[in-house]
Amino acid sequence: MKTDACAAWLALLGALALPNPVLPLAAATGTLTNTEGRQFEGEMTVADPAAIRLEVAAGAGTVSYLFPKDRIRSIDFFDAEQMEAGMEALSHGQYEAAVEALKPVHRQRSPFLRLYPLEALAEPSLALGEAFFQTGRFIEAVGVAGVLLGVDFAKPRIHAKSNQLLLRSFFKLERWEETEILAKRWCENHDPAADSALGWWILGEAHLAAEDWKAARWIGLLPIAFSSQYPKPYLEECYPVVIQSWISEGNTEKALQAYREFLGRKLTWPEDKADLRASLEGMLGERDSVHDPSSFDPALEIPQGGPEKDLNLPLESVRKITSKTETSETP
Amino acid sequence: MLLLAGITAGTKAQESLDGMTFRDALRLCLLAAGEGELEKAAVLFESLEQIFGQEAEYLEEDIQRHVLPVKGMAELAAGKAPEAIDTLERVRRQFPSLVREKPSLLYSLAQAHKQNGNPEKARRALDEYLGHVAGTVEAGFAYLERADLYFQEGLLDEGLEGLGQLYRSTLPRSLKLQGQLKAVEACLQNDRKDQATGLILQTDWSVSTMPELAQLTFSALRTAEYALAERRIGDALKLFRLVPPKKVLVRVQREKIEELKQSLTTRRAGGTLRNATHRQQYFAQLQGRLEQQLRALEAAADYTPNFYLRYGQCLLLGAQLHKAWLIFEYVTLNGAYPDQVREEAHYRWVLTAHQMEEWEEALTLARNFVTRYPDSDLAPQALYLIASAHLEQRRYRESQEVLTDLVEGFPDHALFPRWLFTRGFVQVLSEDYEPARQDFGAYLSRFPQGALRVNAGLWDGLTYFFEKNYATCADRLTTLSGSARNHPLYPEIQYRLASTHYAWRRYDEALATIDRYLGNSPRHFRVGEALILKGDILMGKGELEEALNTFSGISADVGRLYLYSVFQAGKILRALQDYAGMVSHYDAFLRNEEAPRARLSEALYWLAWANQQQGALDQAFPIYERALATYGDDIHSAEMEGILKALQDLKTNRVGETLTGASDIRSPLATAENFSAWILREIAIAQQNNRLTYYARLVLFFMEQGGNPETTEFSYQALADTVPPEKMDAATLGHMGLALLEAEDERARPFFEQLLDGFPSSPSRSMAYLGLARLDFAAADYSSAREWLHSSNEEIPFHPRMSETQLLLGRTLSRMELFEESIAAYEDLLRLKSARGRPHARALQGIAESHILSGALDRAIAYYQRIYNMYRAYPDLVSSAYWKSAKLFEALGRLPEAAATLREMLSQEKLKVLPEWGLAETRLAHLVSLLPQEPGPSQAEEKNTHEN
Repeated sequence: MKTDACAAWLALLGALALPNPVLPLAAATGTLTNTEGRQFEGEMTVADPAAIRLEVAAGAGTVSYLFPKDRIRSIDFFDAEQMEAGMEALSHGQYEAAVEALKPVHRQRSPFLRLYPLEALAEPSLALGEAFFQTGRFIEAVGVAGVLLGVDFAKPRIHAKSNQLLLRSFFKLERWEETEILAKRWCENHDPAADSALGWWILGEAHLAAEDWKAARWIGLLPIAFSSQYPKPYLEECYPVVIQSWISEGNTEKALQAYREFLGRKLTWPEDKADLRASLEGMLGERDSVHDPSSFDPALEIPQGGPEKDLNLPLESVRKITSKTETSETP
Repeated sequence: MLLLAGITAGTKAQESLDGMTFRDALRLCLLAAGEGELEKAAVLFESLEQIFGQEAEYLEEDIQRHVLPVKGMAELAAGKAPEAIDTLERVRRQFPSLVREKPSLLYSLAQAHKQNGNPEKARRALDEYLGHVAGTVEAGFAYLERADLYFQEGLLDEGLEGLGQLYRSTLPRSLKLQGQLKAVEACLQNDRKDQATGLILQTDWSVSTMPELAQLTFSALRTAEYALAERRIGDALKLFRLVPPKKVLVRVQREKIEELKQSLTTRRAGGTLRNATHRQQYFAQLQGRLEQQLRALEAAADYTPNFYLRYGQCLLLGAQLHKAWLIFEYVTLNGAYPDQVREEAHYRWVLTAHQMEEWEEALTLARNFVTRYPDSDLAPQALYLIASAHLEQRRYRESQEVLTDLVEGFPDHALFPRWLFTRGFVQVLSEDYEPARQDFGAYLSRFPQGALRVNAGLWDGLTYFFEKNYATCADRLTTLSGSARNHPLYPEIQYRLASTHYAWRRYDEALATIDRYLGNSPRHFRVGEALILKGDILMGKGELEEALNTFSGISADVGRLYLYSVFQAGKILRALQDYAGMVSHYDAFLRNEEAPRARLSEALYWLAWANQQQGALDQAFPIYERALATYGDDIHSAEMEGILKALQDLKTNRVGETLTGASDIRSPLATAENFSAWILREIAIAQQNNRLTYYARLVLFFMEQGGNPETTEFSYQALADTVPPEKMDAATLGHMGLALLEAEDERARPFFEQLLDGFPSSPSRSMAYLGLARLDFAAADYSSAREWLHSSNEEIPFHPRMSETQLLLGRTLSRMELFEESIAAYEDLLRLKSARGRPHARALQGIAESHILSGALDRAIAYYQRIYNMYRAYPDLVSSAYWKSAKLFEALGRLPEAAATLREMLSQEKLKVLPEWGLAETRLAHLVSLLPQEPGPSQAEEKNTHEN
């Protein structure tokens, strides 16, 4: 059974008309140990129903065995060394090397995920996806995430990571519609106090791209409001979203207020927003040299009247939070 | 050492030393200690000393040097603290060099004293120990232990000082942070909340390096709540930021314990804990503490909902309203949280929306709150917020209704007096003065010492002012000021009293009061207005020179009031016919760069006018023309129409001859053939130079003045084609919109919208409101039309379109079948002196129509009668009134009156041209045929003749 996320991915991939960019190989070389403990070396392929076909060299030809899944104790691939090299390269930020090392590993191993939906078997693919992302090959990253989302793992971790990869990749591809759908789904599945702000950041960016400043601000503020001193990845990306929304609405004072808060929290400003930071620094210098920030009290503005709006709106109509709703109820 | 080496391969330690040689006995003791059987070792060492204690072999220095430390440690481990103390003290006395080599002996001595219940001695041993291990990790542990001992002794400051030393040291950060946490905890336990708060704020906490996160969380919560209670909002926010939700804390604390366990395993495997008893002890204690904290945390109720509630409140008080909104929304809608917390969060959510001035949303939230928690203690407060939101939106009726619910529903509530006062105030705003006075009166009688008693008295008095009942107002305010001398509103009362006397034309009292106000309250915020009032009072008294001096004394820094004073002074100079003075006055104003740059075109107008009065046309014309050249294309400049009118008068009527004869005036207008020729040339130049605002003004003026019969090129439609709305001034937009509307041109609406958007304080907005109302009325959206008309009346109390506005309001209300309100709107118009004449007649017509629609036909007739009796100057209305009156009589079956009415109508020849005339003739003939024939005069005579 495919998960919702996987179905969504397939739909999106179809909409993008993208082929799966890293095609799995038909066969992998390795060792198969049967339930009696006997080992066979050769080329393994996944066969139906739930079995592995093994081609073993015998003289000038080959002998073919078919092992049903319940007769297999374990399988081991011959690419373990290459996999370790790839994982290590990734951990050292050597993304190109990681791609080169992990691509064949992923191609060999991923077909076996259907038989063995194990986290350990998925790790190299996940690492390859990350390496693709880091080297700017977002479409390939989407492809790898899609393969993983097509597998039913016992624990949700691999799907969560794959969904993050998918979301970040679509965002980088500036596919705003898909990004918004995925980001909303991410937010709906996370509590505002969750240990990552990824979804809100990207959803905020999507609203900035659509010039919906107010919505972008509310979304960007959510993880900030619920943040503590405990680390929260992508929190620092949410500040520029909020700040940009204020600036776009012409409220530099509020923008500077948010920037001052950011500075006070000793977070790291995102590198790709250097221009925004420079302009904030400029404004800050100018403002601090001539104004006392506390002197800016917004004046009361009373609307000019006009026909009344419907005041009997349901509470839902004024809500601002985009997050998980399992425990929420609307009175 | 040799001895020790010799026993390592020996057999298991025996239980007794009986019958052994000293060397074998010693070997056995050391074997037990080496195998970690410390209790046994302690017993064996005791036996060893009892058996061989007096022998030279045992007392040999080298033996003592090796035996005593092991013995002491074994005794300590065996819980024999007094014996350990005795042994270790002997080591310290006899072998100071050994203590220097192995300072851990001092640490053990401290532990022994601690076990023995002597914290002071334990601390002193640690002091000595610290002297040997300064700068090492061991010193860090010792600092922590020593602080505990100080606290145990009740020496809080000394303990804190020690921890301060630790924090300032270069020791590992996790130890330093534990020290700080210990210090915070000690302060909190000793009720030194301020100091605890200071410590926690000064410390640079790092949740990634420190282990005791649960303790940090709870200390942060306690100090944050303290800071919040002390209204130290910035501090409280920083402290709340150290608090994670319980779920996060539990997860992280678990991870920390795992980390610690792994680290211990690694250290043990790596041998780094060997010979470091105190380090082992420290880590073991730490792990125990963390596990205990985690268990307690998991078992305890979730602190998160209450934490969010307080954190949200803190954000609200700190004006971080968006964040507060998000927190309260989250808590309110979180079904897993306790109802009481959600109720409070919901109320604070309303408060936040209110504070953000998001009135519509505040209303929605508040209404939901009241629906959801009708019995909540906070429900009345939420209702009050609803009333306030309505008030801010100028929905006075709705505000008043909610306040009435409060006043009637919660008479014993602590906020009842405020609600009562506010309802009175709302009624003042909606001009319902009598009910307002009832509320103020009720307030004053029920709460004679209430906080708002002076406010209630003031507004009670002012209601009479608004009704122009100045005598009563002055009386009320005089009485009030006698009892409110020390009240902050006293200067306000004085100022209002002076205004009242002025409006009542009691200038002497007004002057005395305003002088008293100025003397007593030189820094009151109304001083500028008071000086203006004083000038006006002096003008009223006829003391023009004094008034002039007062206005001249008002400085430019009071903004709009200054402008008023400039033009009032100009008015006085005009009244004094001091034209030279006027010239220099306006000239000085125009040159004063510190003065607000507003009404300049108006000043230029009066400057030119004053020159004109002096016959200095050579000065006047260029000034007028300069004003047109400078401000003609400025959409915000006023008096353009006045200048054009003045120039038209100059050229056409009053001084035309003088002007044409004044050959020395080098002005385009002076040399033009006539005004029309001049303005047409100006129009052409303006269009050529793309000065579209000026162009629109000129064309509009030209058309409004009747234009030129020979020229047909100008029309409103053409003007709309040429000049976009954003290039037109307020008056032009209004005129254009209404003219286009009249011509059924669909482009009218953008002109009205531009007028409302671009000129928020222009009285010309009344034209936009009227136009938009007409559009909605035509589309049968009467409710919307009414709102536009109400906006007009609320915003611009006196405007030239008042008659049309009121008449349309009456018709609109009638269409909405609100006949009483419709008649009231017409009656409002009848009270307006400025609307006398045709508007009054049309108002009567409107009232009659409303009565007809409500079925009161006889009442309608009375109004038609008033029209044809009192407004004969308007034959079309008179003719229509006769005809409709007759029809009503007929409908009521009163045929003789119907016929009489038509006869009276047909007796007036001037109505002959109107459409009702023919109808009346036909109808009268029909009515006569229905009526019984009266005897004619000839028959009567005949009859009389016969009788005679």
